[in-house]
Amino acid sequence: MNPNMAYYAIQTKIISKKGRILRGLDWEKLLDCKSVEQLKSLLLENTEFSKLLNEVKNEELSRDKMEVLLGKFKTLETEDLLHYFSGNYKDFIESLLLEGELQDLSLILRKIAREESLEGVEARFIHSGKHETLPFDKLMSSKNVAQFTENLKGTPYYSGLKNLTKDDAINREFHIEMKLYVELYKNLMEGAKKLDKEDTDAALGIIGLKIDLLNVQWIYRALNYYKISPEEILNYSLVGGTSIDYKKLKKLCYSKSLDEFFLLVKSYLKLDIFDDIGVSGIDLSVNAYLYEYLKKKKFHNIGAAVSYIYLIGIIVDDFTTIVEGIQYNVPKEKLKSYLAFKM
Amino acid sequence: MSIEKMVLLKVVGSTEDMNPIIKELILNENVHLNLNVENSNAYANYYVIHQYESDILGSSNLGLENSWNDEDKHMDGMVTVENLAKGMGVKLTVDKNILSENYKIKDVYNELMNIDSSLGVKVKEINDKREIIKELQNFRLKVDSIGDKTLELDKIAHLNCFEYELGLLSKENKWRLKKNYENLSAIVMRIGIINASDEDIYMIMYPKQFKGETDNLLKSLNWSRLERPEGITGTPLEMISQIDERLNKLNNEIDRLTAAIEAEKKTNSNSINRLYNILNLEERIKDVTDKAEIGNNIFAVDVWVQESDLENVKKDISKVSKKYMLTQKTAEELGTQVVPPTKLKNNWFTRPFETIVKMYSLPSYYELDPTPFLAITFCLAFGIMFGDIGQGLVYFLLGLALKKKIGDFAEIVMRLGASSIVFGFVYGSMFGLEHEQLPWLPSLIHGGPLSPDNIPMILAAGILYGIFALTVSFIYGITNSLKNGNIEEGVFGKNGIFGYIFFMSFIMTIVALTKIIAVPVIAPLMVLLVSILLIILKQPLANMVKNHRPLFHESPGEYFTESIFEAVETFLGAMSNSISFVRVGAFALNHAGLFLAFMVISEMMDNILAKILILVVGNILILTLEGVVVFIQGLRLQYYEMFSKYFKGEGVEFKPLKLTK
Repeated sequence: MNPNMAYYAIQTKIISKKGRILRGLDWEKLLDCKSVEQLKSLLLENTEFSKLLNEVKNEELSRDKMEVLLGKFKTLETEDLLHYFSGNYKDFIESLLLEGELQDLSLILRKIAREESLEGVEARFIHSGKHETLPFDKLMSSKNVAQFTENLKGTPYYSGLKNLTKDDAINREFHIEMKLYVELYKNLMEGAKKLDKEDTDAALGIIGLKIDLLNVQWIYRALNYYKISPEEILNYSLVGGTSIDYKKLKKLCYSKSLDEFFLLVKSYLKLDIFDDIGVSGIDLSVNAYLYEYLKKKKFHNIGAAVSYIYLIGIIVDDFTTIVEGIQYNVPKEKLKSYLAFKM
Repeated sequence: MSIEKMVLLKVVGSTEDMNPIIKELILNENVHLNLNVENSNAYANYYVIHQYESDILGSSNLGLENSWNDEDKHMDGMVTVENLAKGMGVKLTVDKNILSENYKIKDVYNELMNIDSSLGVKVKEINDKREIIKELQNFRLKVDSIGDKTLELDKIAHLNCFEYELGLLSKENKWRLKKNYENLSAIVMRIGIINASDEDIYMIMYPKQFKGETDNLLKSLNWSRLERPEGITGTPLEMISQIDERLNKLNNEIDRLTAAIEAEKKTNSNSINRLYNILNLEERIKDVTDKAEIGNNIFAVDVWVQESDLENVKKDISKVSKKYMLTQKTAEELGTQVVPPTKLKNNWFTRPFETIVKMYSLPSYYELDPTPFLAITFCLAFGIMFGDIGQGLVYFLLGLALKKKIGDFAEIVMRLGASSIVFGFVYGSMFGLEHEQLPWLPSLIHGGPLSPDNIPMILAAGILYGIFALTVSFIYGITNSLKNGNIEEGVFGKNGIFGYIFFMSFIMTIVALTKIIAVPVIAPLMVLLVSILLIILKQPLANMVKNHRPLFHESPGEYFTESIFEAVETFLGAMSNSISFVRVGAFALNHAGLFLAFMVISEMMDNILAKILILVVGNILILTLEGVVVFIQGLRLQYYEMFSKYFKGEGVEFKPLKLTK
């Protein structure tokens, strides 16, 4: 028995959590919601979501606030799982919380670069306060981008952002996003390598796939929207993917057209995103792919926890889509097609 | 030997006295600011403000004329003080005694401006020059790492169609460049290796028309350009000599400037330190006022104070204000919604072990402090596993010698050493030598641990120790759960009363099966089955006892899948728990066995010196390697087998307000 992981307890916990979220929720009813308030009262009936919403039970929720709360959901669920781990296992699961910190870090940086007020920004934070690793107070006291990067000194993210200018922060936002991801995934992979062999393999398998998908997403965006050279696209990509090694990554970055890119992705990942990309966008395509992968795969190790946390990420994205759908009165059937979760 | 009792003190006062009151709270150094804002309703501050607004004759005056409330101005003041201190070489120290006298902010500001106007210019000059020296030294280090010191950089700079750049690149990014070298429109050369750094120094050359493209490419690689200080030219060798010359000149100038302000330094250094402390205090006051609730004319702030310090704190407040009111509530009165901070209270013997507890996590206010139990069981386990009079004495003395340097950890080593000595007398072992070699050595068990008669006894002692340790762990866990009103876990949970009955009946079943004691196996087995059934039914049973409905918080199907798996885990846990403690006995045997190996080798030697040398080497190895292993095994038993039974540890540390950040 692994003393660092109460595996059976986690397994049953996750099975019941998943059940409550995927089957316990009446997704048809969710899609019928006409307002955020209606959605809130539906979610309040669910054991998993009521934890999240109990505090704001009596408040009227705006769309923004609802989106922030959903963002926090992944953090809460990850924190919940932490109780079952100790030692390197706990450290590894904790490092999965870092993504929330990075999102909040980008939020602050974006506001500072655009010289917007930081008032009330804490209310939009989704990271775990209990497991905070970044000096958020110090970062928020920064008056400009240079001070911000200076305040990042001593964190792993400094080296990626040290040469960032105000202009970069506004016009090359992808620089921030990708440099932070590089460090995040480096950290995750290092953490995974400290586990027992079976757990390392399982964790690296999922993280590797996630890296592949992030790369596909990034390269698609870069080819489609940003005018940057293939060399740059390659330099911003993440290493450590499972199915796309550096050589393949290079081929993707040097694709001469989107069609060539799609064909390559199809052959590397067996992911046919060409059909519906025009309708639903790259984000949904990769989420749906990851969702299907995680649904099929059975883990009898730490993979169960990692897979659950990534699954929650997808569900949160779906809920955000639903909230947006409510805002813009998107017809139910259309909204359904925008979800990674298939009923 | 517990957790300090805390009282929540609500200080409500007139806003004009806010700063002096908060100043007293900070200088008292025994007051923890309550930051548990999530449950602010529990503290009812809004209500309090309205309630007392008419009772306290306050004024809407915030008392700001004597506070440094302008954040920017305050920052400037702090920067000025720090710059003056740096330039003059004055060491700034936090000292609350300096602040015993009252001060007026206006005077403080004027005093600072006076010092700055007489010394500021010279000090700035010194600081600026030091800054330049730092930059030059940094640049020199990099230039010095260039392999070919005769590289004619100026000639390269005059090329018609090419440009070049020197800069730093990390190993990881260099790998990326290398993998895509064929697509680059630039030449990349490593020209130097910087010691003790992840980055090396590179030269990049590219056609002038690709400047923009190259810039972006370098950005994507986190390239740090090496900026050449103005006027430094030529080959690396020439640059180094120009830098050295410049450094020399700058140092001389600093010496001259320092000599010029020497007299003023003597008269002003105390003032600067005092100003530093005042500004520090003002900054802390501002931190607290930011967290206070402020009404029209009164303010309210919640602080946690130890029961024993309460009178002292009240007295301090009464010294500076008459317009205030204090209400106090114990943590118990406020209910579990609030989170009181934890301060551990232990005696001289157990206190150092707090470090080990904190390494895992701090107990919450409502938990029992595991430190005393950990201290006793850890010492006991270490003693059993590593019992030796001589080796224990070495640890004890080592701890004693390092006590001042490394603190708690050395004290733990001392206590473990003492325990080892006690068990050394039980086994009759001194530096591994036993009764056979040292007949005068007293011992409780005859023949040492490795005598065939003693082996089963020692292994059984390990298990008995485990049963004792786990019994107390269960008692702790049950008490913790019941204290928090958690009947589900405390009575029916796997770490609750029936969890314990299950564990004991499990042990008894094994005892009956192995016929160590003649009990019919059916009796403990029945108890075992009944208790596991109750554990599976914990939620509905607890709800029945508390008369809560519905009995299940989720669908019964889901509940049973979850709880049956938990029952399987409980069963496996009980098994691995009890086996785990065999190690205590096994390591005791291992300890004696390891020395026996050295003993045998030494007996093969003819030379008496060689014999002694081998025994000494053996002892050193045992003291270092085996000592560490036994320590880790002991810790493992605490963290995994025992803490998991009773310790949650989600406490917030009691951190009193202080002058230092």
